[in-house]
This record gives sequence, structure tokens and C-alpha cells, in this order.
Amino acid sequence: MIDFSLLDRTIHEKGRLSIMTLLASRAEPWPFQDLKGQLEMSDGNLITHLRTLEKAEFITGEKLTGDGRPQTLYVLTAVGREAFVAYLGVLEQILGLRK
Amino acid sequence: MTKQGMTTQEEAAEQLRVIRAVMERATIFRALSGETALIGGAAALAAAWLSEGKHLWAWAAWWLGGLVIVLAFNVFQIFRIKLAHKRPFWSHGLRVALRGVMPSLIAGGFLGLIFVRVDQDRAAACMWILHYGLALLAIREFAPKSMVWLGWAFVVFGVASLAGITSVVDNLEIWMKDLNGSRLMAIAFGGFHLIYGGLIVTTARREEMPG
Repeated sequence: MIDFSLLDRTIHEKGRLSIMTLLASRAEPWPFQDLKGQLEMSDGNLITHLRTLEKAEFITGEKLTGDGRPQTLYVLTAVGREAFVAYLGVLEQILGLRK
Repeated sequence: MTKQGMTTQEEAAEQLRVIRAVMERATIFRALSGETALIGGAAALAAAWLSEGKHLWAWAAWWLGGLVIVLAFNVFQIFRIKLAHKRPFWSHGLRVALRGVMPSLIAGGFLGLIFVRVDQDRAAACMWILHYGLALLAIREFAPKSMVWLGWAFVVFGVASLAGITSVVDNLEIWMKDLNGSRLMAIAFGGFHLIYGGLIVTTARREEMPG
């Protein structure tokens, strides 16, 4: 029996799911501008989703202020990675891909 | 609760499609399009013919000239594709790919030029072939499989040619006696690229856009 309540609603929203997927795709941190370019989201929309994910402790953002333009780098936390893997597991169960 | 008009299964399938699309866009990077490979292959054969019998910088000039033409075409191709898909040219995928290939290309390019300087065109060709293959393999994590095979073809041929010209392996030395630098370059940069390009443009096109 599949427990649908296990589907994490924070990740389930498409914008946040895309952010989590990108962050999970590489070990390197993702700069805000790259996330924006890749996901084709507005600044406001992306910031809102990033804040929601930060609040859930799924991602962390680190602000860098060097010689060039300041930028924020985002990376998946251990909790976030675990939640993402669990979310994929539930999707697979729903689709009958996993016994 | 499911989205309007969607069953739980449809919704789950939709979510997986989102994940797949994002992952593919972010991770697959075809740094070398089929068309560029064909142009590169043809340019290499032309350079091989024009450089035959030449020495030192007169020999290298044909290859460097060909490289400039093919690089310009590849940049134009990437730019054209990105423009069509309304994606930024200077993307994360392009930057990561350049970071991956540059060490091998710089090292190989420099080593090749050293051998050109002492009129060792075969050794120069081996350096360029081998390091070009290593550069392709350096981005294997997010390159399509076909490009990884192309990388291995260059590496194997580069190592075998180097072993042959340095007389490390007797059998290879016999095979190498008629192969000068131009012919080695023609086989690898001409032949391999034409095979690769031909396969890419004639097989089903996948969505493998630069990220």
C-alpha cells in the first residue's frame, strides 16, 4: 500500500522540484544566475522558491563577495538530498516502478 | 490531493518528466555537433593534403588554420542553436565543458608545437590526437555516449601511434613506416570525425542541446 502522504509537498511544486533536481545533478554549488538561466524563472519567483527550500533546510545558500559581482551559491543539504531521494522513491512506487 | 483532472499516477509521471527534462538539459552537453564533426573531418582531410611534404611551421600552419575555421564554425553552430532555443550562449554547461577540456587541450597543443619546432611532425600529431581524445573524455560525465566513444578512439589511436613511432612495439613500427604526421592527422581528425558526424546526422536526433 502506497502512503501518498509521504510525497513531500515542499518538493512537489514544479519550480521547487526543478531546483532540487538541478542541485542534485551536480556536486558543485549552483550560482543564482545559472539557476535562473537554466530554469527560465523570474528573479522574484526563483527567490521565493529558494527561500521555501532553505526554510525546509533542503538547500543552503552562501553569499560570495569577492572582487567581481557578489553572487549566491546554492547547494543541496544532506537533509535535502535524503528528501529528494525519498520523493523519487514514492513517485516510483506510484508508477509501479519499484516493488 | 492531486492536480485538477489528473490521477495520482498521471501526476507522478508528469513529475518524473519534469525531473528528466531538467536533468537532461543540465547534464547533457554535445560540445561537438554532427555538422561540426563533418566540417572538421573534411577540413582535416584538406589540411592533410595541403600539408603533405611540408615541414616545421609550414606544416603546422595548415593544421592551425584548419583548427581556427572549425572552431569558428562550432561557435557559430552553438550560438545558432542557443538562439533558436532562446537560451544564453555563455551557459553553465558551456563553462563546465570548457573547464573540463582546456587542461588537456592546452597541454597537448603546447607539446605538439614543441615537436613541430624540432621537425617531428609524427610526434606532434600523436600529441594532438591523444590530448584531443583526453579532452573529450574529461567531459564524459555529461557528454553523450557517442562523444565518449570518439574520445576513446582518439586516445587509443594516439597511444598506438606514439608506441609505433617510438619503436616500442615492433609490429606497430611496420604499420607506421608509411604514416607521416599529415596521414596520422587525416586518419584521426579526418576519418574519426567523418564517421562520428555521419552517424550523428543520420541517426535519430535526440534533444542534446548545450545546457
